Amino acid sequence: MKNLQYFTPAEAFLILYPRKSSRGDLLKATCFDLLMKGVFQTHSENVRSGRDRPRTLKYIIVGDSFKGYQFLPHEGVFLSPYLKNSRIKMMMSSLVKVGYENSNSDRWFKTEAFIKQPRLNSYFNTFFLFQFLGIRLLNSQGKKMREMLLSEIAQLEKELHKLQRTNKLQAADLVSNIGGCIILLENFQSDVLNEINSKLKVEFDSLMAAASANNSCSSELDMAWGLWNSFHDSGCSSCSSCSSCGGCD
Amino acid sequence: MTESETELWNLIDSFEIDDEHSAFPFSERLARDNNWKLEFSIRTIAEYKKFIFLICISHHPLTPSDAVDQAWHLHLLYTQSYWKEFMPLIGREIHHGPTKGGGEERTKYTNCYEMLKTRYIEIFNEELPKDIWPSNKIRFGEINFVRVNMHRSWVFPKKRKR
Repeated sequence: MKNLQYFTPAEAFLILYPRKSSRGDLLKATCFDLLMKGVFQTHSENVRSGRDRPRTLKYIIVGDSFKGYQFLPHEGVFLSPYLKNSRIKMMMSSLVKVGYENSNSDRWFKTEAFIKQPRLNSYFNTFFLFQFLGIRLLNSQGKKMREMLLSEIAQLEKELHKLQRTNKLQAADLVSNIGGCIILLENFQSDVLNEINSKLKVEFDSLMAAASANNSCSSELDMAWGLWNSFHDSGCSSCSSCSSCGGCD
Repeated sequence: MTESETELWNLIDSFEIDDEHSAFPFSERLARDNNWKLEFSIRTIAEYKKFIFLICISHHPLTPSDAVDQAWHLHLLYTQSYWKEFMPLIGREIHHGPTKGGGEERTKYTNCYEMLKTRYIEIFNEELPKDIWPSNKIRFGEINFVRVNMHRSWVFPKKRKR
C-alpha cells in the first residue's frame, strides 16, 4: 500500500483516471484529505444575533496538523486563507467556493498544480502540444503506476471486506494508514464526503450556470457536468440557478 | 484584553454575517461588488469584526482601511442584520461618519487610522495583514473610486508604479 500512502487521493485519482477526472473531483478529494489528515477540522459553534435564538453552525478551522504542514500546490487552493490568518473560520460552502475560485480553471489546476509538479510529472506525457490542448496522457511509467494503484486498491478492498467482519479495530487501522485515499475505494461512504460532495456540486452547478449564460458553450458544459456526475454521485438535488443579481439583492 | 473585553470579542466573533440559507450571501456580494476574490472578502469580514471591536473598547474615533470600510458600508445596507441583530448583540449603536472633506479632516482621519493600527497590535498582539490594512500613504492616497457598469465598460489596470 505504499503508493496509496504516498499519493494524495487527488493525485492518485488523476493517475487512475487521467482523462475522466474533473476539477471538482480533484477538489473534493483534496478537501476531504485535508480533513482526514487533521490539517482542517470541523468546529460547531453557537452563532448569536441580537434578535434570534442562537443557532449552531459548522465551520472549517485549522486542525492540529496545520502548523508546520508542508502543503502541496493543489492543497494550497484551500489552505491559502488559513495561511494568511490561521484563526479564520469558514462554513463548508464558503471553503468549497474559495477552493474552486483559487483553482482558476480546469486546465490550470490539473497542469500547474498536479502534472507539472515533481511528484507527478514523470507519470504524464508532457509533450507541449498535449499540454496546450489540455490532453492528459499517462506515459509508460504512469501506466505502470496506475496498475500498481489499482492492484493496491483491489487488495485493500479485499482485506477491508474481510476485516470488517472479523477485526474492526484492524480495519480502522488500515483505513487510517491510507488517510484520504479511502475515497478511492468503490464502496466507501462517509458523512463528511457526502457533505463536500453536495456543496461542491451546488457550487459547480452554479458556476456552470453562470458560465453557460456568458458562453453559451452548452455541449462542453454538459460534458463537464456528465463527468461530475460520474464520480461517486451523492444524488443531491441541483441548485437554483446562477448567483448573479440584477440590482439590489 | 480584560475579561469584559474578551467577552465582547467572543460575541462579535461569533456573529455570522453570512446567511447560511442564502444563495448569494454577504461575503459573496462583498467580493462581487469590489471585484475581490471570495477569500479576500472573507478575510476582510474577519478584519471588520476586529475593527468594530476596537471601536467598542476605544475612547476615541478610529478609521478603517478602505477594504474594511467597504465591508462596513455593505453591512450598513443589510439594515436588519446591522441594526436589529449586530448592534443589539454588542449593546451599542455604532454610526458611520463619512469625512466632511478638507485638509483638517484628512489629518484627523490619518491620525485615527494610525491610532487604529497601534491599538490593533496592542490588543490582538499580531501584525495587521498589509493587503487589508495598507500604509497611510496608500490608504489616503488611493481614494479615487467609481462605480462602473461592467456591461458597458472595459477596465484596464494602469501600469503599476515601482
